[in-house]
Amino acid sequence: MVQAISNPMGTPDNNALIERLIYTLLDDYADCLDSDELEKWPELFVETGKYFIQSRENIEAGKDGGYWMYYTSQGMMRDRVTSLRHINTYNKHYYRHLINNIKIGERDNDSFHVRSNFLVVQTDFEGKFECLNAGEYRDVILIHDGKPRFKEKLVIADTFHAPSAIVYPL
Amino acid sequence: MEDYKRNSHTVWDCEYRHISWPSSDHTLIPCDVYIDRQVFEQEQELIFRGPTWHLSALFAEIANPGDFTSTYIGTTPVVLHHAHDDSINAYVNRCAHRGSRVIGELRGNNKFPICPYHNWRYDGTGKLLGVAMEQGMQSKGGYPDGFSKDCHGLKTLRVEAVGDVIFATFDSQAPPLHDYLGTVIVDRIETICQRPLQIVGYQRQTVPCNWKLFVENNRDTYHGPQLHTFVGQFGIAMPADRVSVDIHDAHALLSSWLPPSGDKDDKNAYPVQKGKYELEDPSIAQGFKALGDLQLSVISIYPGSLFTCIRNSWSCRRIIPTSPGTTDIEYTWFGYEDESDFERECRKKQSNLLGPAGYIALEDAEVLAMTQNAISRGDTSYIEFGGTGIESASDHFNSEATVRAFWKGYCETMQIPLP
Ligand code: FES
Ligand SMILES: [Fe+2]
Repeated sequence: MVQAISNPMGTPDNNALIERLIYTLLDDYADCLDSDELEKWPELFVETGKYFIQSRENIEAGKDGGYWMYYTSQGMMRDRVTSLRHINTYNKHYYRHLINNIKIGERDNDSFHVRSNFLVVQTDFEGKFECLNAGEYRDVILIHDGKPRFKEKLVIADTFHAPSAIVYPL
Repeated sequence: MEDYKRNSHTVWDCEYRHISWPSSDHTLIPCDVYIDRQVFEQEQELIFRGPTWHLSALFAEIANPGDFTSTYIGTTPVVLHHAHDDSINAYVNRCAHRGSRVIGELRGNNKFPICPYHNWRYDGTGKLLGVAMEQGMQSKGGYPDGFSKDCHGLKTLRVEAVGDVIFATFDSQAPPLHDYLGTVIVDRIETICQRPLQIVGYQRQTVPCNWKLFVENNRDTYHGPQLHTFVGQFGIAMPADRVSVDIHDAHALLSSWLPPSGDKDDKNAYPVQKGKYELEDPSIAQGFKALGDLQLSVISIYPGSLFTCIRNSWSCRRIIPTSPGTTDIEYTWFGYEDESDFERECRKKQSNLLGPAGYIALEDAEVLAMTQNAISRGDTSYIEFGGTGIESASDHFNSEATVRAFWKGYCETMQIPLP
């Protein structure tokens, strides 16, 4: 449950509004990856934002390494986009994200801990389909001046045996 | 993902022994070997269960008595178990009774293998300790008088180690591990293992290609600068003072050394050159010298074991064939136990280069999928870059000799007659 506390950071006090902003951010995240607007993906993060993809296997084994992606700044995310757009060789493919079971947890001043389930399905360049990954997002979302952004997004890949290369963020 | 090229069940109209191998110098490869089911089954018997050694675990994965870890050698499920008598054992994860798996987890501790099916109980060496209802019930049924538990243990493998790296083989006739690997590779593994290793994480991935395409790729020095332009275009290519290729039997070791900087502790050990693009966050290129000027060790051990120590991105991989057109890759990422936080962070950032989403490795997976997909029976593969020889090179990467070395070893283990 979100508690409505007034604060000096310009974070809205209205629970319904907070919920809407958080849902919008998750929708925007899915949209930019699903509609080939990769450039928008880093912009959903604060400058010092972190983006990690870690397998459920490593989380259960207590390992802080072997990340599929380990990006500790918005700059590193922009570099990923530059590389995917101009440098890397890979086959064209399409993602669809299904995100649900969104739970808004603890509030920390202007930040909210949010977890949700995801399913990413991939269609390849010949139109064939595969379930690429299922798992959980653990997000820390900052709402400042009415604008939600990720401070941190940890993607926990339940499907820790990747069925093929992971090209776009999950 | 049904694809006839990936899961060929077509029975070849002749035995693989009758493939006419097109050349004796391994410059032409008949591509049927990448798609044929019969060849795949013969490989399991002659190569994976034959006189070859397989990287099975790092000691740090099973450091304590009771620790076990599950993997595969070829298609056979295998467990590495640090038994309570402190011995390191490898056994087939298949009950000696009627064949259920005895270990159903990836890893754990203190677990005696107990078969869930009829409750046969083993110890960490694979010895059968007890069977359910050995005497039957109320003197009815049970095992006959001559029944001996000693004759019904789990199938065990031979285990030997270099440094902290544990290898296993099914074949009691296989040469000792050190002879199999050769001194140059043994030395390099020992160099990497000069301080106690720490496991930092695991990764698993399916690559939709034949295992041999994957092995050829990881030792292929030709494709690197052509396919993987990430470091070059971002201007973070490693200047090399010296490169070398060492071939021992069917194994290959690729190495590269930085120009000596004079400063052993230089944290920014990797000089940056100008590229077409500029990294917004260059910290991915930040590194440290863990092994002096040695910056690259790729050790491709026949048939399916691999070390890739690229800058500070260190992992070993087990290459596990699952069908003619699919291969599983199991990564174990490691560093040293006594590393600083800075060094650990460097390793984590540089792990972005490999793995399922890695800047470099994703390109290999994509290209290999495209290669597998394009194969038809009767095709041949042409491997003549750098000539026809299979020799080591102390000063260049401009040859496919390592790939030819793989095929020479392959033909020997598969007993394929050459023209
Ligand atoms: S199959 Fe294992 S006890 Fe019967
Ligand atoms: Fe490669």
